[in-house]
Amino acid sequence: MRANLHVKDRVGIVGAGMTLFRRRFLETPRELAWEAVKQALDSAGLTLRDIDCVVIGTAPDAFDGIHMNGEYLADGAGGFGKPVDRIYIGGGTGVMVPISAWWHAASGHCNTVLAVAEEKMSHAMPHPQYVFAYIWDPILERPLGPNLIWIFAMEMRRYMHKCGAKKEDIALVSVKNKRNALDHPAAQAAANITVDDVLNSELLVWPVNRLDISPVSDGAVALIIAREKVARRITDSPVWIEGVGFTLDNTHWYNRELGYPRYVEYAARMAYRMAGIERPWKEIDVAEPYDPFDYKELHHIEGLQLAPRCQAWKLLKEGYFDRDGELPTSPSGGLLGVGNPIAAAGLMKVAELFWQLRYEAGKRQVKKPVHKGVAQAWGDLMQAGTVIVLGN
Amino acid sequence: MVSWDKRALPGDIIHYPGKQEADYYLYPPGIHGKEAAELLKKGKVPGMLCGDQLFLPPKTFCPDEEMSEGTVVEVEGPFLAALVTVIYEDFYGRSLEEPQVLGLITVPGAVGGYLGVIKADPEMVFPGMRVKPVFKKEEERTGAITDILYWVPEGD
Repeated sequence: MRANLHVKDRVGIVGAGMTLFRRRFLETPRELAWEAVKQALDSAGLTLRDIDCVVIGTAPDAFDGIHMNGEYLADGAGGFGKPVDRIYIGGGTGVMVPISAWWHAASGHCNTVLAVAEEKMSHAMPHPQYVFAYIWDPILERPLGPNLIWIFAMEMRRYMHKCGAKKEDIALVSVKNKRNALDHPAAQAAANITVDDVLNSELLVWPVNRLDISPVSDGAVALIIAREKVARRITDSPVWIEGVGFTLDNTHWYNRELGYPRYVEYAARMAYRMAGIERPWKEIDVAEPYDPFDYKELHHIEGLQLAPRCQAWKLLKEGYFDRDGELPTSPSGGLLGVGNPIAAAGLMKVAELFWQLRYEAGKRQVKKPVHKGVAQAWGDLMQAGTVIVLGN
Repeated sequence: MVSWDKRALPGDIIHYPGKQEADYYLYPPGIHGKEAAELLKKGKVPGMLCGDQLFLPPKTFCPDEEMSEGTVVEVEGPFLAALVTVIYEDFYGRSLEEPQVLGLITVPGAVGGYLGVIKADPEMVFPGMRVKPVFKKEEERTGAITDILYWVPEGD
């Protein structure tokens, strides 16, 4: 059953562009945004004159090292002399940017919207992980010096314990995604690796090894989003935004069931309801779940209702999520393979669905016919879920 | 609610000191910023041409509909202080021994300008006054904006 939403118009994606994802770029954040925007505009045959509104997304200002980073990026992102909005919800930003762009257009306020996400993590020294040192409760947690991997290690351990998955079962996600990324021209961490490579890579915080984690990256992605009447003038094959959803779970990580991402389930149900999808495991043809860690892809597949709880790792072993499988996940190569410039990584996943649903993904094109896809990101203080459903 | 603003030093209450974010940052100059840095090292003021329009300071992209690329060029002047102001206190609210003149430095017809310190009598500065840059010694320049030590009134 579809949600009882009153929107002015259907909204589609008509163009996409992205920079390479790399560890350290000489380009400034503004230049990265500019490069992605130019590509997106060129792909749709538009110029900035054709754009009504701009939505910019970056995760913490502290990565780029510029407070009010969205405003700093604005001119590189084409955001001058137009309504500009910034989205800022950590890792969830990349999927929230097109969601925001959707309501800019669906409301009738803007005929065309430029949706831009950028992250330049390499500015922060000695390592961007230090930025994460300050997301914790300043009284109860920070004095112990935690970093994100500590908590993710416990979350991964919880998933393994609850679902009976072994490290080698989970490592298959990294193997799959890095292999998929070999066909992505922008990829930073593409590789043909084995499960043993993952298991034998540097042990960081048990059970997390180096190759269980996506790399640190710089990069930017841009999409052009338009109301239906405009979208149809721009292209014969717009990709429609059919559903959007977003949720915050409990702020405190220790108050959440770490074995199951409720923040994704609630956001996904919201998006599916809007899209009229009742059986996502049957109706979704291709998925881009957020995979900064290999176990998170399994976690998120289950949250997206694409596999029963604790079954994703078993289906993965059967090749169910391979590019030529029943339900391909992260055919782009995901964050593990393409790279993880935080906000841009989420929008990269939406761009991948755009190319998949237009059959423009080249060697990455999944084997099965595709009609509907879902992309998802995760962020804030690890409790934000953002989901978007696209259709062709 | 209780304010300790006027009653105590931080050491008089239970408190949890903290700091934020990375130890430090490295900001690369960007593609055309590198060319601009080279000009600064040579003791020249960089600008950017987008078609016939001069922009200060240079950026890679022009603020036009096509988002085209600009060309970094040396700006020879004449420079003028389009805006001026005088600073009397430092960052911490302490009075400066000598008031400092600050200006937005541009050239006629250009869009934008540079923030710059003007070495001049605060009583004598005015918007539109002609100025010229004073650079560090060549061996001390690094390609940073601080290679321009300050600006002085033309004729000084």
